[in-house]
Amino acid sequence: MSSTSAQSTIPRKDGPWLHAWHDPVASIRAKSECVRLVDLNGDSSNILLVADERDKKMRVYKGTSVVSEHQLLDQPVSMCVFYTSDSSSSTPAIGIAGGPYVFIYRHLRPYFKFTLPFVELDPQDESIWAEMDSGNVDAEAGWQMLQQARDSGAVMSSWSLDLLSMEDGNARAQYVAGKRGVEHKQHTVVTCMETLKKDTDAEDAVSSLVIGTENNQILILDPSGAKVICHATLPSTPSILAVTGMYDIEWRIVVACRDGKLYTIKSGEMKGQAVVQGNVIELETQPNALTRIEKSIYVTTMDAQLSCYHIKGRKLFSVALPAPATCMGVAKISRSRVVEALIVSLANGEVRLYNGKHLIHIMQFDDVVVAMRWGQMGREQNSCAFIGRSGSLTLKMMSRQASLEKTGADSGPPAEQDVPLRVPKKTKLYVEQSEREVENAIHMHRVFQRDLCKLRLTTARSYVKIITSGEAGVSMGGGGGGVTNVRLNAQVMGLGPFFKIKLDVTNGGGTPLNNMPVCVSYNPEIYRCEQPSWTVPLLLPNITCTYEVSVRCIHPEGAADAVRIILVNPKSSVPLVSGLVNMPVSELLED
Amino acid sequence: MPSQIDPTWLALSRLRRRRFTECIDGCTSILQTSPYDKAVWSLKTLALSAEAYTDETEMEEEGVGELLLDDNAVASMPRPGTSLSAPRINTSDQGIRPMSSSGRPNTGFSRPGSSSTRPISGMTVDAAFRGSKPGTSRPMTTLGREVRLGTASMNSGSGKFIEIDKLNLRKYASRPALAIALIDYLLFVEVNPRKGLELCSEATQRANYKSWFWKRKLGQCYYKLGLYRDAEKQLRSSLKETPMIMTYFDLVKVYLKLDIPNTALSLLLSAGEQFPMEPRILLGIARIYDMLGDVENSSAAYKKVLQIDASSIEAISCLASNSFYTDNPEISLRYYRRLLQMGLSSTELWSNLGLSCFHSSQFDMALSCFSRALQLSNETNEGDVWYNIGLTGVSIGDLALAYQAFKVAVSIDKNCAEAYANLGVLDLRKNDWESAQAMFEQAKSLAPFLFEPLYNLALLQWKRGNLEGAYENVKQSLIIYPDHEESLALEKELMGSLMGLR
Repeated sequence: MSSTSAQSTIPRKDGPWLHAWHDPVASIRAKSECVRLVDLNGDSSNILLVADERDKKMRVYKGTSVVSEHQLLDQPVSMCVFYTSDSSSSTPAIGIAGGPYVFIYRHLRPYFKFTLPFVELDPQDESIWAEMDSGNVDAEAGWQMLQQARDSGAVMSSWSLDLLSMEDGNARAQYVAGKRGVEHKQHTVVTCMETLKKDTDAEDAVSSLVIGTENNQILILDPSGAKVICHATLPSTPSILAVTGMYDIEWRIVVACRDGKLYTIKSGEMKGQAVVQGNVIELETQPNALTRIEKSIYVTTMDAQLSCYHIKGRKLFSVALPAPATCMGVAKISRSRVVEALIVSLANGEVRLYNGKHLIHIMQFDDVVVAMRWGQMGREQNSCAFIGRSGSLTLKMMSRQASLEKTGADSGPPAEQDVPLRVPKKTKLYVEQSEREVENAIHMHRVFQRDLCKLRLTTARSYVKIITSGEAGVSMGGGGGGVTNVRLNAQVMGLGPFFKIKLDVTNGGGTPLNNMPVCVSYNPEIYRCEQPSWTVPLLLPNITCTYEVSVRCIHPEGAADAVRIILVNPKSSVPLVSGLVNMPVSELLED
Repeated sequence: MPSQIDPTWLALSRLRRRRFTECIDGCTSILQTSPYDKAVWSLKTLALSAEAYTDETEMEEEGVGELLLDDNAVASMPRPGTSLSAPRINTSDQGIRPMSSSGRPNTGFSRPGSSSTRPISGMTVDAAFRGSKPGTSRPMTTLGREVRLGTASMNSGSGKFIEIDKLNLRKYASRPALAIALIDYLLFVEVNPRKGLELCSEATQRANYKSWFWKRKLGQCYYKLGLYRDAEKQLRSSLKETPMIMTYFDLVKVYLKLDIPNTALSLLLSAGEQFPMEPRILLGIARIYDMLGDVENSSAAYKKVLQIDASSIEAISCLASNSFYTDNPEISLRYYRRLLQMGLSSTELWSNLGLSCFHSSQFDMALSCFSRALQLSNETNEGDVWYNIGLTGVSIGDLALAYQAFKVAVSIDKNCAEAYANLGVLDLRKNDWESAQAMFEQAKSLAPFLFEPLYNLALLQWKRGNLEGAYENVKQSLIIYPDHEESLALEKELMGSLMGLR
């Protein structure tokens, strides 16, 4: 796993970033939520945990190498690290959410499995299944009743949805038989998961898991991960969570849901209560990523905008990005004072550093970054792990002297405004000619009008000529019988003496055409064509039909001539459309 | 009178006066009586080669074989301005003059060989076969084409004069005068560079490798065979012996084939210092600047050409077209009038004259030029004249005239994509949306390098509600012309509609 060769083209220092390590073939596929930097052994030397969703493995990186790999039981949705008890020598537990379960690992071994509470079934649904189970109602009748229940507005369980989608009676009966004796329970799945500290703000404070589920609920578990201590219901399904605060004192969760709105959940008056607050921020397009920095909510949306809203719901500012954002992270540097900067990675490979609305630095990656995590890696406090779309893993650090302050050079009108435009001067000749115009205006006008009439006449004559001979490449409207336009494209292929003319015939009109003969006209001394005429049976509108005509050059010198392809209108003597193909000089057969 | 003059002397005089066919006939009759007369034999050879001689400074149309099977190592990532396929970064406006991705104008300009610049990323077989104009295809190889032309002319002429295979090249090499006549015959009439190579190598050996002439001929043979590096070596050493203008031109051709135009340019500049009064050197310089897309230097070079040779047609017409497209139509009008005064009279000239007159507001003269152009036209260029008439109609505001003219243009030249695009726009004015769409599609398929049909198609589709089709088309239009304001505005509008939630 040598990394020295990969580092040769990457600059050591790029703005405030210092390059630490790059592995282009790590083949990691994970989201930001499944990448964590955590102090697993309590020795303040952090490791990188990655839950790969493609091979369902959890990988542990210590330094630059993979220390261990563990198989996961399901595809991970999110991975969180939380401390369950307060003793100073405790190691954290790792919670991995997948499907309807949260698997809790201790010392990298499976410890406990938390199952999400079951969804309440609709009473109609429940009763129908109970009857099918007891045998009072058979599969067909049950199917009918479920349909009626659905039409009357009841919420269907997943069993009912499966049954309703089956067309075949036998399949239905089999399905019902298979469910006989099984307890009818409706699962829901985890969509997102984060952690919430209990009462202190330290790195290793006791914390609990916050889970968002598919049936529009947010659940907060107790620190041991065994039961739900608080829940809230949202109008729509949560997809991204941003958690701040402490459970015992005051907490707030900003949730981005699938309907494109941001909801806020606050702690209620008593412990164990949650209030879905009144302000709802409606976004114009779907959100990509969401973070919170102090009193602002930063969200990137699909239309390549980075918007900042106040907690209270006001929009503070919006920055247009050159490409849509793929993920976002917060860089927290604590020196004399804590500075929090926003790291945004874009779809064109850039990773931008923002302090408020000011762009501090742009770093260019070869690969598009799809996941990132800021934290302490090894003993270096300010480091960030980036995972690229091709599976590469990069580790960058921020130097201790790095300044994240905004530079004042960006504001003001661009420098190009001061450069005058180069307008070409008008020449003396132009002036002379304008004078001529002024002097001879009447005469010029008369001559011009006379010439214009003559030109109109010539043009009209030629136009009439081509209409009557049907030479236009696109047929005229009045060819007889209301036939609309047909397009013909011809292309010669081959080196000779055997050529192939590829014909594309398209009916651009609205009515289908049928039984149209096509014929090929050529000079018989130079060419020979085996099939010089055939009939097009059907031409549907907007569909291109391709035909191939084989033409052979029989001239001993390989001379070239033109070949004409004519699409005949069966109702008139004027062809529908014709095309002229200039054949190239032919190669000769060596006999 | 001819019977009293010595027939050999008569043949020689005819050769001098460039009456080649008569000279050849005379020589043939003399040879029939005395077949071993070397003087007459050499005269006939010289006459035949002079007849078949092509101007060596022109670039020929590259064949398919050359494009696909070229093994010469060419820089794979040339910096802009150092290769013929990657001229300097294009800042020209696509709205004024459609340029291809390599910076050459796509329409209204015809120079053999210049449109065949290879794309750096490799050529597909399909693209290689396509000729410079849509609807034509390329010859297989350049040498093959010349052989074919050579054979055709031989068979139509006096029959096999020299049996190549039976030649004893060593014997001929020992007789310099005969060898010189023969080498030209081999290269230009028979087009057999291999035999020529043998002859040259014999002759050079005899001359102890000191003859500039034979080195130059060696270089020419290598060039015809496609061995450019060897050709370069020979020509360079020939130049060291004795600098000759024609050798410079041969070397320039080699460098252009090797795709190192800057070397060719510096060579021509040094040649220009040695032969300051030679207009062809300056013409070569101007052509190379043109191929690189450097309009300023090219115009300056053409002006210098005119100072020396005031009737160089190429210089005048290039300067005229450049000034037309840089918004000085009255200057181009003056240049074209000069060409008229020189006695030139062709469809293209009259048509350009008409356009220049029209755009410099000399309306009385404009239209009569077009009718003259039509009178002189033939099938290949009549379509273009009608297209220009149509554009003039649009500028006047007489849309009926424009419509008819465009229709005539497409009937004559089926591949005139611009006419289809304009017909589409006119159809839209008549609210015939079906026909307009058909026209734009046709234009798009014929000329994928034009951005107008793509943009118009996108606009039409957007108005009719086909958002996805419109989005694809506007994206393609932006690839061709990234600064087009209307395309950018349409794209923004479409993105908003396609992405927005409400």
